Amino acid sequence: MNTDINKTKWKCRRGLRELDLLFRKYSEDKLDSLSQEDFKLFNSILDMEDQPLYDFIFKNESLNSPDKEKFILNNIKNFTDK
Amino acid sequence: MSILNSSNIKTLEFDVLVIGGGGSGMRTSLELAKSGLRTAVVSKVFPTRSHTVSAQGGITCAIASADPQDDWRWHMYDTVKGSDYIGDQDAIEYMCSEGPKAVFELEHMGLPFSRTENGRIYQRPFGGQSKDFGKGGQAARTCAAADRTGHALLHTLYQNNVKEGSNFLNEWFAVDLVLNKFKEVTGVVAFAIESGEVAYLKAQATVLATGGAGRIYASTTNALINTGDGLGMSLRAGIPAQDMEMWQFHPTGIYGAGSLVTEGCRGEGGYLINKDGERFMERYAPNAKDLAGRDVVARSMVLEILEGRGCGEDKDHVFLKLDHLGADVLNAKLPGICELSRTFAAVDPVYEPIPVVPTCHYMMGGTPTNIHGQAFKLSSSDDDYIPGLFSVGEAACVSVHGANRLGGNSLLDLVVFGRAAGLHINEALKSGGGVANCDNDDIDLALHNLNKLNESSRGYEVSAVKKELQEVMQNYFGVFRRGDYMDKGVTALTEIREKIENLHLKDKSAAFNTNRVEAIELQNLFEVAEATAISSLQRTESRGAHAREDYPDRDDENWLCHSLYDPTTKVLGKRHVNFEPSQVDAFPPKVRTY
Repeated sequence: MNTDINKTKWKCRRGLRELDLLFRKYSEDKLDSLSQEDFKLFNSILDMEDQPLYDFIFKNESLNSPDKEKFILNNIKNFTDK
Repeated sequence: MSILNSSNIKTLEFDVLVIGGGGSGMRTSLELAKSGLRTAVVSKVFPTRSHTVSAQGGITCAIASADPQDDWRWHMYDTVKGSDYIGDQDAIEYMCSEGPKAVFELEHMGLPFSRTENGRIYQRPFGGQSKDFGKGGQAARTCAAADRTGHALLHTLYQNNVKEGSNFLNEWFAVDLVLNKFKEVTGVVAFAIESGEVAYLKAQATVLATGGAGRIYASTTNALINTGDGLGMSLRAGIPAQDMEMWQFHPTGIYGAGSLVTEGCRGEGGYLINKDGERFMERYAPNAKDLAGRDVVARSMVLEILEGRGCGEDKDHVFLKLDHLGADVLNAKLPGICELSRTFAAVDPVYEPIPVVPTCHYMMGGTPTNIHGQAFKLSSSDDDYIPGLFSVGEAACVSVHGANRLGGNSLLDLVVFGRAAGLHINEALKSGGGVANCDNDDIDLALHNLNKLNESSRGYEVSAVKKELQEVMQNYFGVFRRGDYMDKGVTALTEIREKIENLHLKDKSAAFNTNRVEAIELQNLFEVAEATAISSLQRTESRGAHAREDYPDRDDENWLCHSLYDPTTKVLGKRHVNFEPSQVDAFPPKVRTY
C-alpha cells in the first residue's frame, strides 16, 4: 500500500502550478485515510490530462464525468478551506 | 542498499538520449526518431504532463497569416530589442527566419491551431510585438490553439514521437552526467522511479531538455517539476552556465500560491495599492501607472514592501484592487482570475483586493549553446564544444532571449532549436561523429552522489533546506537587487551548500521513493541558485530583467556581453554577444523604450 500511496503522490506532480497546489495539498492531507473507492477515483482523476482538469476547475468546462466533477468540487477545489 | 558501481548496474544503450519530455525534448527526439536513430526520451513525469502545458498563450512567428505583409525581420528586431541587446543575433535570425517552417510542420503534424473565418491560422497580438521595426504599431504575430497551445503542442509531439518509434523512459530520473577521460559526455546514470533500478544510459549524444528552474524562488509560477535537473547535472560536472542573472518576474502572482494574475486585469482598469490604500504606481510611473513594463511594476511593488508599506501581517505583499470594476465586468471579462483568486487566496475580487507579489516566471540563462544545440566549453572560442553534449529549450541559453524574453517566444525557441539540434545530431552521427567509450571509473564517479545520499545516516532534512534556499533567493536575488544585500545572500548560500552536501535520506526504499528524487532535485536547484547569485552580484549594471539599485544604468562599455559562470572556480567570465546575422545587418544597441 505504501508504494501505491507514493505512486499516487508522484502522479500529483503536474505540468501546471495550480494543479500541483491543489493535488499536493489534498494528497498530503487525505491520502493515507482514503477509502479504497475514493483512492481509485482520485487516481482516475490524476490519470487525466492537465488542461481539461484546469478548464473544469477554473473555467467550469465539463469533464463529462459527474463522479469526478463531484469529487473535485467537494474535496480538491476547496484549497483554502482546509 | 549495496554501493552502486559500474559492475552492479545495467547499461542501456541508445544512439541519442534526450533528458526531458517537454516540448523541446520531444521536438528533438521526433527529428532523431524520424531519421532512424535509436532515441530515448528520459522523463521524470509522463511527457504530456510537462510544464510546456503552461504556455497557454501561443507561439510567436511571422507566418504572415493575420497580416500578409508581416516579415520575420520585424520579429527579429522585436526580439533583439526585447533581449536588451545581449541576445545572439545569429541565433535570433535563425529562430525568426526558420520559425515559419517549424510552425507549418507542426500544423502538418496535426496541431489544431485556431483559425480565422477564411481558414488561415489565427494570430493574436502580444506585448513587445511591432510592425516595420517598431515604427508600424502593434503586430498580431502569436499563433494560438485557443488558450491551450502548450497542451496541443505536447500532444502533437507525443503522438508523432510514438508514431516514429521514439523510446520513452517515463518516470525515470537522470542523476548525473557520465564523462569519459577525454571529457566527452557519454550518457547519464539514472534510475526508474517505479522500481528504483539504476542504470547507465549510454549514448553518442546527450541532449539536456529539462526546462527551467523557477523553483529556486519561494514565489514562482513554475510547477514543482521545474528544478533545473539538466543544468544542475552539468554544473556539477564543471560545465559553465550563461546569463544566469537573467530571470523574468511577473508582477502579479497570487501571494502564497504563485498562480499568475494576468496583466489583462490592469488593462481592464485594476490597480495596485499598498497598506495605506495608496495607488503607488502613480508615484513610480506617472504616465503608464499600473500598465508600465513588467520589470518596472515588479520593482515598484518590492520597494513598497521594503519601505514598510506592504500589506498583511508580515507586510510582505501588496493588493491588486478590482472591486471598483463591478461584478458584471469581472464575471464577464475576468472569470478565470476571479476563480483563481477565490481558490488560492480565499478572496472574491468582486468585494476585496487580491494579495499579490512579484513572482518568478522564466529562466533566460542556461547552458550556452550554438544554434545546433552544441554546448560550449568554458572558452572564448566559438568552435570549442563539449563533445556529446547538447541543450535545448529553457534549459539552454542559445541565446535568443538575452536579458528579457518576449511573450510567445518560448514555444518558438523550443520547436526551432529542438528541430535544429535533431537535424545536426542526425547528420553528425551518420557521418561518423560520436564519442569514445567511458571507463568503469567514469560511471562510478557519476554514481558517487547517489551513493552518498543512499548511505547517509544523518544530516539535514530536504524540505527544510529547500525552504531556506527559496527564501534566500527570493529575498536577496529577486526583483530588487543591491550589492550589499546580495553579499549577504552569497554568505547565506555558502552555509546552505554545507547542508546540501550533507542531506539525510531517511527512507532508503527502492520503489517510488519520492524522497530520493526530491533530495537530488534540491541539489540541482542549489547549483542553479548559486550560479544565479554569483552572476547577479558580479554583473554590475542594470539590463533587462537584471535591475540593480546600486547600478541603475545599462553599461554597454563593460557589459554588452554574456556572463559565463564557471562552477569550478565560481568566477564570472564574459562571452561576446553575436552581432553577425547572415541575412540582415545587425541591429545596433539603442536605448530600450516602449
